[in-house]
Order: sequence, then C-alpha cells, then structure tokens
Amino acid sequence: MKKKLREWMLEGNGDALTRLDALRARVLSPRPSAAEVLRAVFRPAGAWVALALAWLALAITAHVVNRGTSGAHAPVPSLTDADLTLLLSNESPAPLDHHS
Amino acid sequence: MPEPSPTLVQAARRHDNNAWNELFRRYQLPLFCYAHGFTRDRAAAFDIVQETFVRALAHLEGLRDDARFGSWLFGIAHQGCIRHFRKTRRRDELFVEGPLADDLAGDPGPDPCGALVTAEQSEALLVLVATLPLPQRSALLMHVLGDLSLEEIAEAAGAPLGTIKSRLHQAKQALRRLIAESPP
Repeated sequence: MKKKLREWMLEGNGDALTRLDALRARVLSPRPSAAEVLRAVFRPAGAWVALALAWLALAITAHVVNRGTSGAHAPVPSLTDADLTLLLSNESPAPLDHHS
Repeated sequence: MPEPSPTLVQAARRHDNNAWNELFRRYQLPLFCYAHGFTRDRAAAFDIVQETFVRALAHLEGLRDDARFGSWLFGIAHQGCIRHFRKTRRRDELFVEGPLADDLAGDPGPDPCGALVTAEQSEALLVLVATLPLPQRSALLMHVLGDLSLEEIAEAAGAPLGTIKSRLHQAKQALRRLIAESPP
C-alpha cells in the first residue's frame, strides 16, 4: 500500500492520540471559580471531619470544665452606691505628716 | 492540510469552547508529530503541544489573519521547540545549518512530499528526515505536516524567505534521491 509521507507520519504517531485527547480536554476544561476552588480545598474529607469533631469535643470539654470550676467559688457580691458611702464614712483619715 | 474555516476561528475568538475543541482536535496530531520530529523527545513533544494550546488560547488576539490559523499555531509550537532546546542545552543544534542550495532555479522534479510511497520507503524517509540538520528538518516537517507555504514557514520560523527556500530545497533533494534509489 502506498501513502503520502504525511499520512505515514501521522499513522506512526497514532498511539499518541489518546493522550492528546486527554490533554486537549484538560486545557479546554472550564476554569473553576474562586468559590469552587475553596469548596474543593475544604471538601469534607475524612481528615477534615475528624479534625472538626476533635475540635468540637475539645470545645465542649473546655466549656464543661469551666462551668464546673466557676461554680465552686461563691460569686463576689457587687457593691451599691449606699454600701460604698457607708464604707468610706467609717474610714479614719490618714495620719498627717508629723514633720510638717 | 487546508486551513480551518474562518468562521471556526471567529467562533474561537468569541471564546466558543466547541470551536476551540474542533481546532485543537484537528491540529493536535500534526503538532505532536512536528514537535516529536523536531525534538526527538516524546515527553517533550506532549509538553510542547499542551503549551501551544495554552498559549493559543491566551493570545488569539495576536493572530492578524484568521485564514492563517494553522501556520500561526505551528509558529507557536516551533517557538516551544526552540525553548525546549535552550532548556536542554542543545542550543547549538539550532544553528547547524547544513549545506545551503546555491542554485534554486530550474525544475527540481516532482515534490517528494506529495509522492506516494510504500511503508518500507516511508521508514527509510523518516530515518533520513531525522538525520537532516535541524533547520532543514523543521522546514520540511512544517511543509509536510502543516502543508505550509514557503512564506508561512518563513513567518512561523522567523527566518528570511530565501533561507527557508534553500533549506526546503536541500531537504527535498535528499528525499528525492532516497525515493529514486529505493525499490518501488
């Protein structure tokens, strides 16, 4: 069978077509938006889910522990203006400088 | 290889993905053969085709004449091949010109690139093509694979028309001799 040199050349490299098709599809695939990129990066993969659960467990534990320890102490009573006046009126004046 | 219809190129200018797909599908194998024939490196040839596509997508506005899309694409691939040679420190090969034809006048006979040849002859021809000096090989491959005219090859390769004429003449002479000497 006789063919032109071009046809022989193309035929000889025909096995490259599959990879070239894939390459073409990759180049022409639509570019993802920023939101899609973020979604892809933070896709809930196993590792991310485990990390989130661990973080949640730590947060809950910390919250429970804080509540437990804060409940052990009596709350400090807040002073009203009347209490403050009473306290100040009972205070004795500071001693004067005897050298003056 | 006839140029694609200008409507297809115009659609590509409007970012029509189907048009690009059709254009790239049409040229992917000839471009790969060109890059492979030029570099003799299959992995590099794939990279060069991919780079050619990416650059074509990004720089289509640089194409002045839609009717020359094919030669423009071969020009991008040619530049990719040159870059590959520079990167791989084979830069010197780019300038091994080989003997240039003094006399281009007269009828050199039928174009060996259009001749019908047997599988055995084609194998011998491809071996011969691989041994041609790089500038001759490049011109011949563009002529055979892209069906580019002398002017188009000169533009794609960034070389003077006379130089391309001489390179192609030398390469064709070598092919002609081989075809004449090989059994039919």
